[in-house]
Amino acid sequence: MNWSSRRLKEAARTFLVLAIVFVSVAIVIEVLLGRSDSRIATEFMLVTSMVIAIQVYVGNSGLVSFGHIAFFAIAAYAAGLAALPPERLASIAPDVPAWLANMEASLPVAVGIAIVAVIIFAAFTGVPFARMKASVVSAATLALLVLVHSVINLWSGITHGPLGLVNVPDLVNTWVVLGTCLIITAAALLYRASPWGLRLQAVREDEVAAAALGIPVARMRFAGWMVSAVLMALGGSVWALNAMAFAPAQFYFTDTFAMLSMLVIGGLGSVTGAVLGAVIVTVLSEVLRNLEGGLAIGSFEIPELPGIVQMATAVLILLILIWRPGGLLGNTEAGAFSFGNLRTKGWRR
Amino acid sequence: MTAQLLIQQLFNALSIGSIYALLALGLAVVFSVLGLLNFAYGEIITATAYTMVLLVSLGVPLLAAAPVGVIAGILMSVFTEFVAFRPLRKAPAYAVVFSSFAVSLLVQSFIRNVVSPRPQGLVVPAWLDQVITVGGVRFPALSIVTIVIAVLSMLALTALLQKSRHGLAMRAAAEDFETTRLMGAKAGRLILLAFAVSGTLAGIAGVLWIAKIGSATPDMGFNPLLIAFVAVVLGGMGSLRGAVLGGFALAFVEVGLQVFLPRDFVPYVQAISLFVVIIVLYVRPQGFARRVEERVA
Amino acid sequence: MSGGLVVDSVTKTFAGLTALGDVSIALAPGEILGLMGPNGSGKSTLVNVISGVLTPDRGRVIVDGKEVTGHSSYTIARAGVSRSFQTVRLFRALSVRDNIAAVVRGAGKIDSQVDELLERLRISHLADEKAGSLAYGLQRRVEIARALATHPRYLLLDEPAAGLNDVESDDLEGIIRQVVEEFGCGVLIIDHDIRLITRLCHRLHVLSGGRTLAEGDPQIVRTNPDVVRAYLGEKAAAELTKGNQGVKPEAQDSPIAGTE
Repeated sequence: MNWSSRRLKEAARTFLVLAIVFVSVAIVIEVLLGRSDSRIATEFMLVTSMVIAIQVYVGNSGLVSFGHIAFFAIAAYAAGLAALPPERLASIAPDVPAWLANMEASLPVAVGIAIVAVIIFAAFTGVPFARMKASVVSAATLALLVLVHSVINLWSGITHGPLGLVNVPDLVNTWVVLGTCLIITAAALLYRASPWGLRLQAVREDEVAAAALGIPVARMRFAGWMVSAVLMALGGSVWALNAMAFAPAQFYFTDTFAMLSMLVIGGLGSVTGAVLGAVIVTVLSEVLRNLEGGLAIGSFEIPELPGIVQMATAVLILLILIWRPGGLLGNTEAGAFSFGNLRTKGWRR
Repeated sequence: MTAQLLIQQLFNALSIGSIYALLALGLAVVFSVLGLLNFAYGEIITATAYTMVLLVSLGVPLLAAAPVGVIAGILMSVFTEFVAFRPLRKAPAYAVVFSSFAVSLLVQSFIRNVVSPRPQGLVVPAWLDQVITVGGVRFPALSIVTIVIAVLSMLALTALLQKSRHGLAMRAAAEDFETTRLMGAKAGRLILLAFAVSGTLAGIAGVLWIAKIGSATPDMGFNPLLIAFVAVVLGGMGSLRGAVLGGFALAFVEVGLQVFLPRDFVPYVQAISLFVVIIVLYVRPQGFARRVEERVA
Repeated sequence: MSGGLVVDSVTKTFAGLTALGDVSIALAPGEILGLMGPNGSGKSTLVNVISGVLTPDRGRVIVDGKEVTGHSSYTIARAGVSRSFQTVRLFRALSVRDNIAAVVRGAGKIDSQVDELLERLRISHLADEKAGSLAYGLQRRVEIARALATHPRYLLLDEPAAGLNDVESDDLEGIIRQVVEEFGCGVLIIDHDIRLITRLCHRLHVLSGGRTLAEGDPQIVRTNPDVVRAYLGEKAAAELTKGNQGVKPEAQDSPIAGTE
């Protein structure tokens, strides 16, 4: 087909850089961290990979989606329900259909089921969304988030309602998490370098011109939506099997905002940006979370400030948007800096 | 389904639809001029509600507090324009989604920390609590007032758009909002006007809203936001008429579902109406609007 | 499959204003047709109708025997129509190379096709620059390269020479000629540069107030008194007399109406 070897090479270089980062983190986790710390770290890695999945759609299409957390939710619940043994399910989610309840799925099966569930849901919603006017898609995805969250909360027969699923089997170790991150990163970079990714970016830049030059706008948006959904399902299901317990509140605004802010801050247009943003926001959140309970520095007291994490992130987003609307990295990938480029162009980019 | 029940439910749908239509119209006014959605729109309702709660708790009668509440709503709307939209005039379209969303969260945090995270109650005067019963059908006074005020507001807006100079300017800008977005100071005043009008409509809706639900919470703006969004999406293409239709349609779907669904499913009304909306968009992506067409500068 | 891009009695109104009134045009492959007229005469609207960005209220658009009236601009593009825009609409954040690669259609490796087009428009040295960062004249050239990348049968150029100096303009002329000779596509070009238009085009079509004012051989159309009257005042008249190519005395004495 119409693959460009230049774009593929840049993608490969970027993957190398990010893979090194992920592998290093995984090694640190395995070797240095204790049990509880390593859980936090693997969770961070999975959240990062989900932000990358969101970037695949939002970054390439330029359309803000609040609905990806809905994919996350569906994947988590699907994987959780599949993996939970029937005895435990019977008491918390009695209405789960027998074929699903009796499964005590292994990791690949649970993930597979989650992906299939999300594909069905994403295909169904993707068609009308891809044909919608760009300016209203964001609102529609917000409605999607509310829809899914509401159903999960109410249908306690299969989801255990607001209490969520607990004691989901721990089928995941550090290497599985690493593998998931690498697969998602590779897929995201590959898509970005692919003809479909490029055309979606053209649509993002100028929808009218793209259509007038023969790019099928709705089809490209649909493709981005689906690829992003599948990767979200992968990350979300592995997350569920790592976290072992979750409730509907997990899949609503706080997390949506957190993940989207990572994208905005780091750079919407690149996978590297997504990773950078995830790191910045996570570090910032951890630092500020310690302040939430109030802090005393010598004789200087900082009072309790619930929600300061969100407030600070919101302010940061506003500042970044005003100063650098594309995010810190904008459209630049790590792989853009090859030795050849630097020699001919210098460090100015 | 008796005639009595039918009339009752029609009246309910009309009353709810009036607020929905007003909300939708407020959002659509800005959208028609800028081509952008205001994700902090719900906070206009919040600002109005808390202002009224504050004033009423200080002993101000509701009728006097209401206009002040609307003014608070206008201020909130204009504040959003200055903080989330104006600085990002040249930025890509998605940037204001994030910036207005950020403003929304900031306002909610502010209220949580400065006022209280707990619900604040509002007591309406006795005359609004009355119910007029005719032939077995209940007509709550508040609902009648709601319908009247909402319809009057929408008519006033129509008059403004058709007759006044500013209204005509806004309609012209609506024809080609891409250019409007990139124009200079002249457009700035026009956009400000659009946000002010939007704030007025949402402020009035906010008064009716808080009078109806009786208590204010920091995140109360989310529901009106969702309603406005859905109605505008249904209405299609920033069409003001479509937004009003969308608002009423949504109300009718909700009330209809409440009437016809078996009791167990009633909590799902919101989810199902959203689902219905997705189906409608499947079949007709442009919503109620006539043909989708791109305006090229 | 009969060749030809045919616009048949097309009418388009915007909120009561007639942008196009019963306009008919035909463009054959290998032909260069110039579209002229004062600002607001409907030139860009016509191009938008042909390329599917707008739908006419009445009339038909036919491409190579296939009716495409009311179809999406995507369908029309796929039928062999390509275009540039009056206000440059590049994919700004993408590199020049990617701008072209995103739309390129045709056999062979994508990278080599793109390289070839860059060569032809002499912008190879800009391949990796962000399209949005280029000077205006260069952006125009990228837009044309991009329009050519789709291997069109019919190319619509909306003021491609706007903002270009004489040297760049001559360059553009050469490129268009070359493209028509090699690819055999039909070109519809809108421009205010009368020198360029008359030298380049096989035929001219003049619009005014959304209606056809005159059409045919460039020399005859140029000296048509209605055309001179309807067109810009001073500037156009000065250009005509400076060019001094068979201008009839009556034309020089025509009242300069100067509608803008």
